[in-house]
Amino acid sequence: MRWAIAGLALLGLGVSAYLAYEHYGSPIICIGQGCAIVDQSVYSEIFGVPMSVLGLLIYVLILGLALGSLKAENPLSSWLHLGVFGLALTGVIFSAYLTYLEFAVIRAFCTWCMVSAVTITVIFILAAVKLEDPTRAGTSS
Amino acid sequence: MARKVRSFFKPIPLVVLMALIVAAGLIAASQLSAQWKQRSATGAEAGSQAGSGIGAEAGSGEEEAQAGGESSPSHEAVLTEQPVKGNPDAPVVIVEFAEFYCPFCARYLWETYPKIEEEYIDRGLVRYEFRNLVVHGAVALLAAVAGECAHEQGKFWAFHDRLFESVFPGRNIYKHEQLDLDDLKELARGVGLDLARFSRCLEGFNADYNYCLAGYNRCMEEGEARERCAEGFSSCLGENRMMQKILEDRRELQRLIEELPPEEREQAQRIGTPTFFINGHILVGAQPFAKFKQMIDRELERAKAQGGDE
Repeated sequence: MRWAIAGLALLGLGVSAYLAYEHYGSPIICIGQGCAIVDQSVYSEIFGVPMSVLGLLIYVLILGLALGSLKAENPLSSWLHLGVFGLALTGVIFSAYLTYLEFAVIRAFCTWCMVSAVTITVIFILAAVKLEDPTRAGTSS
Repeated sequence: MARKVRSFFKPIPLVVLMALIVAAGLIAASQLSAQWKQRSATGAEAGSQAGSGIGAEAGSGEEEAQAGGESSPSHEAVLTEQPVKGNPDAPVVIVEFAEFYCPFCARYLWETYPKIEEEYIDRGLVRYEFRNLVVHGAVALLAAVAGECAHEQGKFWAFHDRLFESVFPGRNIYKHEQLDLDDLKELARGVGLDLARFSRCLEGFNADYNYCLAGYNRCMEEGEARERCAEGFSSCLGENRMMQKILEDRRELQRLIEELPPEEREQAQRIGTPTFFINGHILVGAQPFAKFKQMIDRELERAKAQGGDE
């Protein structure tokens, strides 16, 4: 299960990296399609920080924590897992907000943004299923 | 004892709370940032609309559109009158499809085009044509129309060069300025265009655009499907004389793609700006000069070989 989370985080990382790359300009051409419209909108950045970079950041953190929690003997394992859960929760809420923007406000949608939204949702569900109170987990095992 | 401590400190609810706070903070920041950006953008837009009252100008715009639509010679004119540079009988023809808000078109113009001009156009080896391919929406469309309005007065290229410099100040292609009607008129003044004529041309388009956009918004408010409203908008704006030129450029692109040799069709799948056709061979993107040179030289060789045969 935790391997799955790490794998998904890697996928999300790839997608965000691609979107960030597109945001800062694909090497040589401009294409006006869904992603470009979303990416051109006033919602594409938070005070200069592109959404894709935020995505990149959150996936890097999740990946790091998920890899850390892989070792069962790691005493911090369930704490790290709780961290994954918290990050994923933030990600899910924020993704839901972005998806709402795409459909209701910008009225253009971008396939790769959707892929990222689905990825973070699945990570969240997986993390929630396996969630346990770290203060108890230590004593129970 | 330890149990008691734990009952005070519940990590899961705490993490959930933190996650909620962070998410709320991000959303708030996003809204603030968007409002802040929108304010600076609509400031410019309000300026552009002040120059053209929808009611007053729409009439003249429509008249112009009809004049353009009904007389078929204007269609002919649309077909042949491209902004062109170089020897009309040159053995190689390059057609560029570009847009003024496309950073790679700007990069191409500043880094690669001067070499093509020096080595081929100025020597009468290449005839160079410009066509519009609008990919960045309304602002880019307005700029494209402004280019055509300048072209009407025979000053396309000077306007084209200035326009790129203004959209990407300091030649920084990662940051663009959105130009409004007044900015475009200022540019037109700068290259010595007949300002009254230029303004009529551009404002006529702008009025038609606003008129059609109002129709689109009404359509959306009535809960029609987005595609339907978009279709209505396109056919409404298609009445405009300048828009017809932009659409004609699009059709020309389609024609050139259809005429591509089969082995080059695949490249036309991911078309964008800038795209070039060198004697009917496609080159997508702001590629390095060497790539252009290779293709142009090949065409020159071919033309020479054919000339020798005859």
